[in-house]
Amino acid sequence: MNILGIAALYHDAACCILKDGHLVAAAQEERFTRIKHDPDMPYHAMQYCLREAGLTIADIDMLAYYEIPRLKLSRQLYSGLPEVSNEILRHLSPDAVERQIAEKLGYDGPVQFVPHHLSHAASSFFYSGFKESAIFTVDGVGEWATTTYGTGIGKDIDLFEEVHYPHSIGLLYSTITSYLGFSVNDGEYKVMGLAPYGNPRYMDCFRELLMPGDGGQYQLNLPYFDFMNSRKMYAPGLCDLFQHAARLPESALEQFHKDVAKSLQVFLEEVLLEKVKYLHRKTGMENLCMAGGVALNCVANGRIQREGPFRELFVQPAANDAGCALGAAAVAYVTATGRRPPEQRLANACLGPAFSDEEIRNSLRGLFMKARNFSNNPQQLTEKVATLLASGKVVGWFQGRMEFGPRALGARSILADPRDPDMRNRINAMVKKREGFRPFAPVVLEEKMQAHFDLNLPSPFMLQTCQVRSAIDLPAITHVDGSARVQTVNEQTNPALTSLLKAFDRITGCPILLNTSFNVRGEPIVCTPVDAILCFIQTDIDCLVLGNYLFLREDNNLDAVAHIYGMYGHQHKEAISSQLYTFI
Amino acid sequence: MSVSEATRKTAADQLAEFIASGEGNVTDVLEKMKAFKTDNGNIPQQLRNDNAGKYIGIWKEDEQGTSYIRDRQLMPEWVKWAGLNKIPVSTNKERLLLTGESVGRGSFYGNEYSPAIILQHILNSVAGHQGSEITDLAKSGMTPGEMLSLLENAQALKPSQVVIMAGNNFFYGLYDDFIHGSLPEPLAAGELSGRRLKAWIDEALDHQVHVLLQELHRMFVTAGIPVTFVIPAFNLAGWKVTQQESCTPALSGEDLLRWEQLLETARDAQAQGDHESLKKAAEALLALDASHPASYECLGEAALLQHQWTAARQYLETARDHTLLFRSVGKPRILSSVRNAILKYAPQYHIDTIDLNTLLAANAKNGIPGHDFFMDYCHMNMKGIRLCMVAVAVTILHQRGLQHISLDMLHSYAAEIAPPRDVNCMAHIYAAIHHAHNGQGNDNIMFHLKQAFSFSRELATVFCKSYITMVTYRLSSPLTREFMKILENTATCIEYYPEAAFHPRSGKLLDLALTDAMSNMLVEAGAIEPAATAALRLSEHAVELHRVVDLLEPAYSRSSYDNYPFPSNYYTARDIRSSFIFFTDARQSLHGEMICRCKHANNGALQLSVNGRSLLTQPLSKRWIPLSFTIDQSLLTTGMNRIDIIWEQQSIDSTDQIAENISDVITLLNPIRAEIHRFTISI
Ligand SMILES: [Fe+2]
Repeated sequence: MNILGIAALYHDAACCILKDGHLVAAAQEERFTRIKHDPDMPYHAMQYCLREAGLTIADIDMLAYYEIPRLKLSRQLYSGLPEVSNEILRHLSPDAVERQIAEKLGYDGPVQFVPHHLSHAASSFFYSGFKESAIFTVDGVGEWATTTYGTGIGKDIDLFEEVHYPHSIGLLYSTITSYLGFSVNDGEYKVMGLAPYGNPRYMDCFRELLMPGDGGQYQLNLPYFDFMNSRKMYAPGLCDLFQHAARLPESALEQFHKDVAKSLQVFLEEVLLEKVKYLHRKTGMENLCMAGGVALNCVANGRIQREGPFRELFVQPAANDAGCALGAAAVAYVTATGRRPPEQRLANACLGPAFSDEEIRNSLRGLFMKARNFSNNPQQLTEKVATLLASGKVVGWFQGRMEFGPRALGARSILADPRDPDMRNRINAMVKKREGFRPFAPVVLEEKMQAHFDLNLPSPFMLQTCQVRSAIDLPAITHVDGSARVQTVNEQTNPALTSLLKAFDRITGCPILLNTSFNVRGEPIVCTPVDAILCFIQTDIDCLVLGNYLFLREDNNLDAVAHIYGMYGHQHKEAISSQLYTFI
Repeated sequence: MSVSEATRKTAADQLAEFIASGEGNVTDVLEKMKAFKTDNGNIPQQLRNDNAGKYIGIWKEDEQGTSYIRDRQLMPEWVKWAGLNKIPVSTNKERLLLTGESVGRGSFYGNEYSPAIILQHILNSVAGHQGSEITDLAKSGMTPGEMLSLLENAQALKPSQVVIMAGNNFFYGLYDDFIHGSLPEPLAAGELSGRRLKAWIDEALDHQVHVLLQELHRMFVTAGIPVTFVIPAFNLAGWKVTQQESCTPALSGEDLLRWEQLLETARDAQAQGDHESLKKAAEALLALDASHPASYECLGEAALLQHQWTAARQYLETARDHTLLFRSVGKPRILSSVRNAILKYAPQYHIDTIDLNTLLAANAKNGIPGHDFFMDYCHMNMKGIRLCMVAVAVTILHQRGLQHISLDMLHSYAAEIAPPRDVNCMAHIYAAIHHAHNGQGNDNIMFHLKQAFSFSRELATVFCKSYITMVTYRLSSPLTREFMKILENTATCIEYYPEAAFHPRSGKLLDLALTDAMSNMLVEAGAIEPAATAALRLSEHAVELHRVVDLLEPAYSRSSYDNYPFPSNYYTARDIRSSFIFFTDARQSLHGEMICRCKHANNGALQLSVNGRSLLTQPLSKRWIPLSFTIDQSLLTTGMNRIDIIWEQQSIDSTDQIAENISDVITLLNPIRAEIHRFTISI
């Protein structure tokens, strides 16, 4: 039984493949097309998944899609269409999804449409390893639901209560994100990172914006919002409420903005904690599975884990819509076989393509850069890289299968020494070119996590924050409030990074590295060796490790190429969507 | 939730149900949807519009408001525009704005040799004349809409005259609204034809031209600023109809067979110079499909063989007019409908015209311009640019009241500027690459390579050696060592034609025809061994090296960027023939796997041959079927091998389909013969 799971046409399209219930591969389309958040039907991700599974399109028994187009249509109509035309109607038709599956993926077999929040719920529960668990999903909006409460027992998921659009705590978060001058769907993380710099002075305003209801319910005070018109998120009344105009993107961040961010964050945590308590009362279960975009808020997750009533929390690494591909596929598997997919917990988020040394060598034949080859002695490479890191070098780290989900977890990462007080600014300047207020995340040897962080359980997916309690000063990864967004690694899930951490520990006494995603600002995380080379060229990273090959900036003069890429490298991107306007 | 909200929810749900049921027609649904329009009528002005006055193209107004400075944020766009850093708002000379498409930029020569530079030189050389300042606002790829908003802002530069060189790109504007537009009434597939589509296209283009000229009149002519419209010309003798443009038309059964036979007959006749058979076959082809450019081209070739120059010219123009029917992405060119519309509306709006078509015909051998004036389809060489700019200068000077000017004098001024030998050499090399990338054959490629070698054998040799190696690697060209060599050798002026190295992502071609031609030149020049290029290809691409090779990669499945304009993710055959290549050391048998289907045709079959020897015949299915085969060692040759597939057909399954909009028409006129989801060769 081969099932493709698909999430698409909103943002972050993704595909996964279940072979007899086993998750063989999963990837987001953006990594292949290099278009950030690419929402298009994930053809390239699908081809990769098929290849990885040793299958072809002719072998697929079922395609599971992560929402019900007909229900979504009614919500879209309700939202108020800005313009109604024949063409829009064509796109809006619920058949449009099936048509696109047929035309863009080439798939012509049976399709199972799985409700959006059921997909979220399944993406967490069926991969949690829990025999039974309460389930809490929170996102911007699916079809109608924006928040759901449920239980998973064995193969059965029951979502017993829903909050419906337009009432959505996810959309509240996005609205404030937009009000604070960050982009929606992308800037929520920045707001979370900004919060520790502020004071929760505006809790009253938030209580005015969102009113709790009975049970799991709550309501937004709609006159303050404008997302129904899909032009901007907030209404003028929201500016009046905060007595401040909205911040223009890229303009200076003032204390006010930090205070709003802090208030929002605290308010979100309070609402979520209250709802989690309700869910616990209602289900009496010990475990909690969370999913949906809001479940990527690792600060809130940390509080739910620490202060909430549940014994254990599981959040799947792609808690956002991309992860729905996993959930939809699992639901289709249950429908088709009457069995639950195999029960171990998802141990590893690295579900994407890997490249052997031979493939790296073959795909880079003719490359203008010099590399050092450690294929015969990987341990020597590890020692070398650890030494480079200890001497303050910033390393692009490309090893094994690519991560699924929005976070780099040590397969496509940029690594550096977390003890260096200047490291945060250096990386921001050389790679990220982003707001400098956010610290980077640490990755720590699982066996030593408790010596440095207030963690009781491993955090393999970097989905919760905790306090730093290390004897080592870790300025590059410690937030102003003393917290950090920790990832733990061990020998089983990431042997290469584990060896590197051990080597770094031997040299420095610090089993921790700074870990941030391997990408240029505005681009998706790198996928292939060539993507990594291009990212290396266009940033000022000191070293690049591709499998067992080491590239040093000092061995290579990259200035001329970086310049010409700046001039012409973007043109071929246009050429993907249309070759019509090249050189006319 | 208020009552009205609950009501809206129920209503939305009912409407969604109604749409999903598919029972209502579009009008019913639109009528029902009116209830869902929101009241917020005021769309906030977009930021971009607020700033519109502050930009002219890539140039941004400075804080003092005295100059426009090239904006570093728009650096990736710079290559499309003139290399000006700064445009002062006021000037003490008479300012002439020159704008338009790439034809106005002077492609392949970089910023060293452009229409604006020549025009400036001519005008400044005219004795007793105070001279001009020409502001070059031409942009490669400019569309009429872009040009209008550019000119709207450029009024701030207070020009005294405006010259437009445009018309080649107008067709591309149709990709926006036109192709999504509804037909006046739905038509059955049987009622559609290329000819009908062409009539709709011509009508739309006429309208586009009308709007453009109307706006030019409003902005400039009414303010007393003369506007001159230079209508570009097309390389009639040189630029050939491409393989994609001559893709199999929507025929089936016996007609299809006949079409295939006739086309073969025509090609043979042309090769043998047999004008009678060529003409006969072409006329028969036309009877089967009156919209096919290849048939008109054959008639044109037949007329050329008979020295019937006027007839030849007419046929070649008709062939050109039928190339842009959405069969291929194609390249820009002036269509008769655009030219005629400009000539028709210009007098109404008091706009002067210069028709290069007429001008070049009067100066070309037999009245049919070719490589003597062009670098490709529409971009002119030095001779063409000079001739054209002299004509523009005459009009400009007339507009300034200077009536008696010696043409010879103007020509001699124009000839005073010439790019250096190296620039000429590279211009022709880049033209050769451009020809190859856009589906032109060996004759055209060789013409430009020979020109390049004649300008600078040394530079051409160095460049071609690097180029062959660069494109033969599977690696993205700009990451190769050879690209570094090209980049470090400033004489190559790669910035004049970055497309030579910056190919589309995952769209690198092997450029076989081009690199073969380059190799031949290099062998002749004694610079490389005859077998060198073949050996390099094998060492980079051998199936034995990569273990599995994906034949659907562009390098193995395409020979140019001239593709169907609405690409599909997987391989889609609209022609009844498909070809693929692979490389092997031929020391063992290889394994092939293909997943294909033939969704729209009945009783299809595929015939697959390797290196011209039939390997298998297989009935096709409407569903994907896997096909697995062994290629015996005896069928293989060391180096490049070729797989040809003929999609045998029968009838197309579209007769009962209805077209509601232009996009449907295009789909039905270009039926899919077969699709391939995966195709690999492995050891
Ligand atoms: Fe969601």
